[in-house]
Amino acid sequence: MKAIYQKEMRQYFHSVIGYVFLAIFVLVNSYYFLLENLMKRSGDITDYFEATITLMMFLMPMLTMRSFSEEKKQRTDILLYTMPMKHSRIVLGKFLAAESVLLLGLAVTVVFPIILAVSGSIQLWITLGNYLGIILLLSTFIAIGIFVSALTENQIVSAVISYVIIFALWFSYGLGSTLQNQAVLTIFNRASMMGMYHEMVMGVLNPAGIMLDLCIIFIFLFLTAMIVGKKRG
Amino acid sequence: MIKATHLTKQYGANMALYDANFHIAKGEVVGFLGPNGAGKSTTMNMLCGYLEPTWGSVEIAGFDMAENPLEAKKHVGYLPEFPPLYMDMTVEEQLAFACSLRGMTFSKKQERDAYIEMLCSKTQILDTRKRLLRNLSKGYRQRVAVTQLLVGDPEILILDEPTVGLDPRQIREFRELFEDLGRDHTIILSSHILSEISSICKRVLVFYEGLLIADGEPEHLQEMLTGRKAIQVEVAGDRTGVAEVLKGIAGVRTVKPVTQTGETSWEYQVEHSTDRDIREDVYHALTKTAYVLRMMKPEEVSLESIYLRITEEQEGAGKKKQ
Repeated sequence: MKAIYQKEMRQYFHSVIGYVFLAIFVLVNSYYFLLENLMKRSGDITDYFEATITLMMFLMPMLTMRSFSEEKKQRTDILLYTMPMKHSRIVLGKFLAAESVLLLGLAVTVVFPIILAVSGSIQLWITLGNYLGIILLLSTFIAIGIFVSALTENQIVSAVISYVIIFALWFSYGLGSTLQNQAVLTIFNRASMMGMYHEMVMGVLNPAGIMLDLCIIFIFLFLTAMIVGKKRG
Repeated sequence: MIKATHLTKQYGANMALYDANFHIAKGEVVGFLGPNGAGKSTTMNMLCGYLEPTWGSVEIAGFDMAENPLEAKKHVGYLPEFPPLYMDMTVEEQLAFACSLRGMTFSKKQERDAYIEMLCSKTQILDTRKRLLRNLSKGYRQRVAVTQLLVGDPEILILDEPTVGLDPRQIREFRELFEDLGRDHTIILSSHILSEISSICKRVLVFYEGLLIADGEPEHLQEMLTGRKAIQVEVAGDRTGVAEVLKGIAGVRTVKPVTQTGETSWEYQVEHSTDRDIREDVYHALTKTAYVLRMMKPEEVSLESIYLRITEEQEGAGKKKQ
């Protein structure tokens, strides 16, 4: 796993992908912090997080679209699959590398709540809830992106399918209400990423929501390991 | 060392390989021979664990590839037709990555570097260690891929058409390298060129349209596949007379003048029974006459002609059935 992780990290930062991702990530976040907090003279960090999350959804597949698809296209996947290494470790190595790049980007944004704290006051638990929420949510998008990249050798197709799944999961919140059925509404709201995220940004740490998020990550990583292990069979 | 039992691979309606059974002992150097699409690469992909067989099993060093893939893969190094190299890595980085994938641990970076240096010196790529793979020629990339194959010193080396696209000098160097490696490894090498395989391999497995059609020594290949043996002789003298003399030798089935090589000399193809070597008889028979024997050699096996013969025989059998 360490070998895959190091190789992925090297590829992120030996190519422009890692730098471009981080640059856009920091720029977008800085813009929304400036717009929602500094310009409006608001000390509520939730405004910034709520505004920035939609753009983050567009950004994540950029990070994961080449994960397995590029290996397939360049036929380097054969090296990984013929070495004495479990498929789950290959998937985990790639996931953790993408996760590290994401955390690197988020680490830069820590300066925003610090600015707010210095110039006024911040609500610590709400800030932490926001960070936990965004990390879980974007990790889910990474898991989805990696899963989709294992299905195709075309990076663009990989990114487009990732967007479709991510948007479907995000906007399923409230969709059940059109059917005017309480049970369906509950299922849609529970499955919706938006629902879970809104709970966390309000500072509500719902263990069921966190578990559900972790389960979705696990399921997509598990499915990816199954695909890379069995698809050629 | 390698045991394939009822190995079969089916892609939809296409049968890429059907019911291949073979056993390769430790230290053997075996060639997989066949035209494109014959099933060589499919078989190799299954032997190294990249593809799952539709039916049948692969056993490597006593470990079943389906039940214990990690143990089985520890014993195999695979070089596919397209070398699996990361173009954005240097040669050293690529080999270090392969070391990590094999689970090799080094207490110090210097120790790992020394190991990589040792491997590079084996394949003569020491001077390219710091260069990016994308900047190397095809020949050097192939060398790096072979070096990568040696990482962790797997006992079995599987190479799929390793000399395709190389120039004659590089091909000769690669042959020498494989001969050298063959001394302490079990090697499977694939090609669609018979001469390439017969110079290195002691045993050949012939694939044709997804079937393993022959298994044996290269020099007996024609005999195995067609049930016939032939020699080529060049004799100076009257064509009819020479043919009469040759036909008179015990075991000779047919004598066919193939090419006129001089004013009075012809090259003949002499087909004979498979149970004897007639070369001495030919020599003695001709020395008793005024005809001059200029050359004599076993008939060169042309893979294409064997395939043609096999397919013709199969078509003939099909027509008879109809």
